[in-house]
Amino acid sequence: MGQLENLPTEILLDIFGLFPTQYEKRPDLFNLSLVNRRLNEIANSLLYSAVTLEYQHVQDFNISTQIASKNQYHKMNHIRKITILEIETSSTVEDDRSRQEHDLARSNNVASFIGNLEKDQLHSIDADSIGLLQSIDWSSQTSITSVDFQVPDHITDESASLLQQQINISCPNLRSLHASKIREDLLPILQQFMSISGPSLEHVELLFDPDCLVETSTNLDSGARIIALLSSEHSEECESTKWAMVRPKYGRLKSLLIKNLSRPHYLTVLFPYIEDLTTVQSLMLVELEPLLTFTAMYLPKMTNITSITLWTSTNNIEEIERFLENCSPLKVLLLLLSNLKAPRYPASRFIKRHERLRKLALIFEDGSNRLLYLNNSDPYLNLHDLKYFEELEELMFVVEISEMINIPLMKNLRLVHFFGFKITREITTMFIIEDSLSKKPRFSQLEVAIHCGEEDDLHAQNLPEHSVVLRPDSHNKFHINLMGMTLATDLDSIHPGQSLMFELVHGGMEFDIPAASKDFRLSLDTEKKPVIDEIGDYDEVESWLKVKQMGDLFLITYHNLENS
Amino acid sequence: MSTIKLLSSDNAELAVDKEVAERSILIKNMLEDVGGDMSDQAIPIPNVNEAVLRKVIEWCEHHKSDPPPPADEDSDSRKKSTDIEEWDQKFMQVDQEMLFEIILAANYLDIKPLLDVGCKTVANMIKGKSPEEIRKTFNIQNDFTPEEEDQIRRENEWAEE
Repeated sequence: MGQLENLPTEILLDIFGLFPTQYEKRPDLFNLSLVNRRLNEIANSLLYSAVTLEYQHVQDFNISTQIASKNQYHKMNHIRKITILEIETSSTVEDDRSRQEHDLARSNNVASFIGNLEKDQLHSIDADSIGLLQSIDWSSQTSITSVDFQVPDHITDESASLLQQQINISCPNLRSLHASKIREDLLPILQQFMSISGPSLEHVELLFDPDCLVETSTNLDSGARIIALLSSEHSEECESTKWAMVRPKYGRLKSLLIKNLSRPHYLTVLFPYIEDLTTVQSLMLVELEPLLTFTAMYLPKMTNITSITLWTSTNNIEEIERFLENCSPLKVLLLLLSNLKAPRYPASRFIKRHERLRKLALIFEDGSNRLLYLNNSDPYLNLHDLKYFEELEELMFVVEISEMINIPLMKNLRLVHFFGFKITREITTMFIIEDSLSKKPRFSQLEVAIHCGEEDDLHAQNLPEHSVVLRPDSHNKFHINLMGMTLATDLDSIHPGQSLMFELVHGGMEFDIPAASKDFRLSLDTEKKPVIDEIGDYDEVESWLKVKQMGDLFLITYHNLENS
Repeated sequence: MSTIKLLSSDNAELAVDKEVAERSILIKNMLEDVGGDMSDQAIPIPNVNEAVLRKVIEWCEHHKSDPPPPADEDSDSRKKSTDIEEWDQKFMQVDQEMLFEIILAANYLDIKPLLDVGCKTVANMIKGKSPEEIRKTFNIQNDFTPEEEDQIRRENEWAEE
């Protein structure tokens, strides 16, 4: 008697939920839908849970979804997520008027589609234009917890102004907000949006458009204007302005990402109550112009942060040190700092106090974009200090080959990114193939990516025997075990019995390659089965490489007649 | 280290380290409710028979020192992938009846990492198989008429590879 179909629905949903739905093709769910009635019902609920409304032509508003194109309206009740996407229209819309007509027609179309859904059916909406948010009847879709929108490239000052007046977004149960290409003149809309959704928001990502900044000398500085309106001296004006009446307030915010924010006072607009940010656990600041304002004003109040990413240019490492000294114990610390005037790592005591770190990245550059190498003689932080972080799972840093031997082994490590790696000589000592580590139980999960240095250093010379040679690809990168991307390498030779583990998402098979054939390329593509070019003669081989798929892992082992 | 006793559905009493048993959130909460002292009384596990309970305990023994799953943004994507650790792969090399019993037990005992491994194992058994191969693998009866099957195939063909 079959038992799969007898499992409870929630478990079958867990199992079927492991098959991706974010891509157009969903072959495993398709196959499951054809097995029998019970599995069909469950597979269908996932097949149609996320749909894309694609617009392909200015005059053609047929929604090319899986559902609408086939008149399968009975399946619309499975929809939980809608992605609205415009493709290849920008070149066909010649003037602003046609653009406005096009946008209006598209909005109406989306409104009609969403209007046909059941009340509170949608959970997530991903729109390629902020204007489309007007199309949603928010009162009938109060279960939306995730909104992702961007400001389209073609928006004009006039249409932005129109948007400011018209848009009225009410999303009281929103938990996740991702907004990209935000123009500063649309800040009031964002502020209004966040005012209403603030109390329920848990994850906020605000990506500003660095190319759409208005000069501070002009009167269009909406951030300053909002500040003025919010201040008590301007209370009358404040009352007359609808978006200034409500100040964003957050009580559940767990993660916050801000990118390309140019002016310190915008922070005060969006986050007027610093105390509200005490709930934030994960903070990511990317290219934040007022970094010092943030670290000085906000970070001391954000006492629950366990994860912080600073990816920006700064010339003040002391400020970073002060923060590291005073913040709560971190589990994730990612520092990607550039334009350092006196480049150095933070003193080790500031980082060592975060002994429970699970993820650590230290990528520092000077004003000439030169990477700062971490070594053992550094008076500030050095490689030996890594041993203090016993729980470290992921590590990203810049190191010379000669220093690799000094990297302490960490039992929980599963991902290492080496930056600035110069392949000038043998790298046999690289610990991904060292026996001592390969015996560790978590070795099969270790992922190593090598980001190489200058072009001139790429070609290895005078390689000793029995070394593993890793040559970078045309993108100046060599990736072992990189999910979702093509992996290609030359393996000149490996010690008998030694092995490398590769991890891929799809495809694969077990096969042998004669190692005598020196000039082969093994390409492991996530989308296809492994391909080997220029295979030598299989007859009378004395040694070979065995490539075996184990789940999503590829085990590559060197064998010869002697040891086999 | 303190030991507790578990009573399976077929009345077998199994002694197990408290730390190991507490991989089950159900048992952990139960022990907390009674103040942690269950040394003289076996905890009944009415939905799980001895053979399955032994397998579940074996898994908990092996994973007793696992760190709690990271709460960062990558954890969800890791859960979404169908990769399974080598030891877990071998552990799950059991007949289908036992596999599904382990999954049901993990669900009942609230051992999420074990439930994840079980679900991933089944997903890997499904991955890449045609409908007929899935039916054959899991001994499932096709209850569609040929017309219904044709219609589903047409309706869902957009998702076919």
